[in-house]
Amino acid sequence: MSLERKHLGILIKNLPPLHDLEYRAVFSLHENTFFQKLVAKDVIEKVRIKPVDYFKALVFLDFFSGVIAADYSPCQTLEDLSKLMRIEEKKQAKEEGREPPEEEDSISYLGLKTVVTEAGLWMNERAIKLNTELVNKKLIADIKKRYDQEPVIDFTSPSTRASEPFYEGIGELVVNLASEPMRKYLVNTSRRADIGAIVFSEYVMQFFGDKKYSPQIMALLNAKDYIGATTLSLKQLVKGTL
Amino acid sequence: MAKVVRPGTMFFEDDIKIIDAELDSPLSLSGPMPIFSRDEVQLLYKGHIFVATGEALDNNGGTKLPEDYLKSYTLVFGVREIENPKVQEDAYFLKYHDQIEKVKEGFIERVVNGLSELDASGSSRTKSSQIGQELADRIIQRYATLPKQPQQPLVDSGLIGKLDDGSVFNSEVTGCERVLLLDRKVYELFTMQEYVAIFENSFDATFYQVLLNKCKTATPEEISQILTENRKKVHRKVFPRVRNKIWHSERSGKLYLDGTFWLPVYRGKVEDVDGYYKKMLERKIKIDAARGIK
Repeated sequence: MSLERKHLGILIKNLPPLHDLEYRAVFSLHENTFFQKLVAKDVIEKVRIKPVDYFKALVFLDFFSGVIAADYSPCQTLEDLSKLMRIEEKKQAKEEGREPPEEEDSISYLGLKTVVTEAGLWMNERAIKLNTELVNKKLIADIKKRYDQEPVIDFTSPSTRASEPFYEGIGELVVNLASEPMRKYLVNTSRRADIGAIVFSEYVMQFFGDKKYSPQIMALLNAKDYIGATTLSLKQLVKGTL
Repeated sequence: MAKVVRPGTMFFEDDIKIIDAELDSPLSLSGPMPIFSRDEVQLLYKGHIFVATGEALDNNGGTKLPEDYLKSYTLVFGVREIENPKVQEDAYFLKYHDQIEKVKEGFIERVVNGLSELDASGSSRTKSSQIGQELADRIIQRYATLPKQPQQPLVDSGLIGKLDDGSVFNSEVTGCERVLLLDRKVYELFTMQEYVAIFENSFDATFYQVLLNKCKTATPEEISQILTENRKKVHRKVFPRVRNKIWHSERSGKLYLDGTFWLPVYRGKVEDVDGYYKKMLERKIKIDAARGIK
């Protein structure tokens, strides 16, 4: 595991920050740095997720919204859903003459499966609206274009910033976003979207995996074909949420 | 008064002038500056400098934690002191000695009009050193007007004493008595008491006093536990802001240095501090140059 986290520590340290958002309260230093390097502002400021799934959902949504959909409206939908659930929860508690649960115990804090499902529903809705095939060539080309625009970190360059303990900790956080069988793919990553593609594929397989696609997705990740793995995972997702 | 410098040339001592506008002009110094150029998390504490180091320690395996440590996510690393500011500055001045000498010459040429004519006149050394002293005084006065960061109060908790090493950093720079540097940003190190005190009005008054006292000796985990057990005594919106920053789970960060748990809180970009430090290094070089006028 040390190899993966060291690799990811260097990768994340060298990534340019996406924003300079600093939470003085609530979050620790490594959490703030994680946000700055790996999660777009539009994602962080929208979603309310259960603590156990929080970082997983952020990376999933960042990749889905930024690279696949080029649209952050799924995050807005999730926020709206959270708010509605909270209102309903408070209303119900009032009717029953009790206090509503504390926010962190509230059902309005969504789980990872809800987030992944919303992504699939959004894709299906998009296909209906555009009257198009769910995962067509144009979409794949657009995904590839956005993927190619991501900065690539050259681990062999002398100007690449060296590993250090603080970032190794953030690397460990990212390692823990993936399950044991997926972690070996993380040592091949050289851009933010590579991490996103692995995380996206993993969670789609976790909730909507099938015998046809999942082994192929694993093989593509093994071959560092992140666009191929993303495309197949996307097909699996839209099929699972039809 | 007039002197004949060379046949046919007149030179007046009154023509020697210090150009005030040049006193605080920037110098083109070579190489990365000491202290702030290091590309890793640094802790500036009571004039000493620390970095996290080595391999991650087994935090869950019963391994004894080191005296000082940084926990990033679930990984714990020891913290060690590196070269103090004086050593780093001396190394810098030695490495770039030749360039700095040229910078000094250039500065004197820009800031003192007529000095070369005075040299050529063979005027007394007393006159030259008077100019040097006058220039040094004016440089000191000019730089004294620069805005400084407010000094941070020291916390007497452990064994580390304030370092007075005679460095420019420790003599002149304020606001770095306890900070963490990361990626060109400055984070102030708050004790748990100081952090809790930010939210004073959001606590039940009695509980607030109890909590403050506990913060002196308890671990972040214990404070988090106390907060959770007394959450009704904390404003519901403030509760997660305080509790989660201090400790929410084994995935929380932690910094233990000199017998105190510290919470890094973002202050701003490093330019506010290292810009001032660079000016103070320039000030030293200029004063040295002024006093070197012969």
